[in-house]
Amino acid sequence: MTMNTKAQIRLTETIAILFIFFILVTLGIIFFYKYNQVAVKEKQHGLLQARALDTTLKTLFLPELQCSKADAEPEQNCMDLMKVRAAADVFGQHTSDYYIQLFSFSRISLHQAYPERGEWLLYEQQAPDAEGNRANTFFVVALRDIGEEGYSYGYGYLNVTVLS
Amino acid sequence: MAGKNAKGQMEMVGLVVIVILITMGMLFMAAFGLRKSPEKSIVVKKGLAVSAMSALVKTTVTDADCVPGAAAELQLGEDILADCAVNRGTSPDGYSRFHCGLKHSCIFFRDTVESLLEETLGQWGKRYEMRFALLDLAGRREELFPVVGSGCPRERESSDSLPLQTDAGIVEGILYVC
Repeated sequence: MTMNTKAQIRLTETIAILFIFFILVTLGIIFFYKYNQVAVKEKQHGLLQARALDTTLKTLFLPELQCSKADAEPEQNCMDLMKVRAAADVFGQHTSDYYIQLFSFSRISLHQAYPERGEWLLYEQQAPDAEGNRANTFFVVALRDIGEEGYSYGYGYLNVTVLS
Repeated sequence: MAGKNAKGQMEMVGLVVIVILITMGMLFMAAFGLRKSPEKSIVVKKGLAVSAMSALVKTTVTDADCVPGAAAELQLGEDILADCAVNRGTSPDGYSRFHCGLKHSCIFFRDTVESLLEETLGQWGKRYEMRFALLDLAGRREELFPVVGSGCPRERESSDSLPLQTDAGIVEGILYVC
């Protein structure tokens, strides 16, 4: 084999190796881009879930809804239906100056499952340029009401849907 | 010639090794990156178990058949469950102080708890397991009725054990959410 032919073969080999190398790098970049896309979506979903949980906890500990005993001592995991019935109006009147900072764009509703069925929409604020992403959380609560015999407790749950 | 062939083969093997290493590196990166943090999930399950247990035992029963001839408001935990503990030997068809839903207290308690948990935790896709046991005055432990729920085979978070003092002993209830 002449030296020219040897050199040409060497050159072809090097070009082939470089070609394969750049294909591998391109595949790596495409893979990384796809992975990042999925990771960002997952992160977005995770943040939305975290916001839903924060909003649920804020609602559970809101003095405007929470059951209280003597000297305003709060009762855990309990909502007072007397307060709940008035809450929707109060939240509606003060959405823009107070509650929107607390709950942002979300929908908060309370449902009673026992002894009677009931539903109260406490707060709702749609995002103006919503992407349609939403995260739902549910939390069981006792629902206290006052009757002729004194306090009675129902079984219900809080549904918080955050929107983005 | 044999030497040149061996060199070519070694280069090919080298290329294959590099491709395999890059692929494995990317797979590990993807696996670690997409792993979810478990701490928040544990906090949510525990809070849900505690609140569900607390709400269940406080629930007021307004059935007209509970006390014949009287409109009594009884608590599911303090009254119905306590009656079940005392009269557990006569379940399901025998005597119990209260006959809500025309059932023995143990049957009524179990059915009510099962339907409420299924309507809430079950509908939300959560698996759960609820147990009530009686620690009698002699220190013996006895399950009051079969376990409620679909069961939690692996990782689970529980409510605190809820002790209820009755005439028959201490009733301990625990709810697992998984």
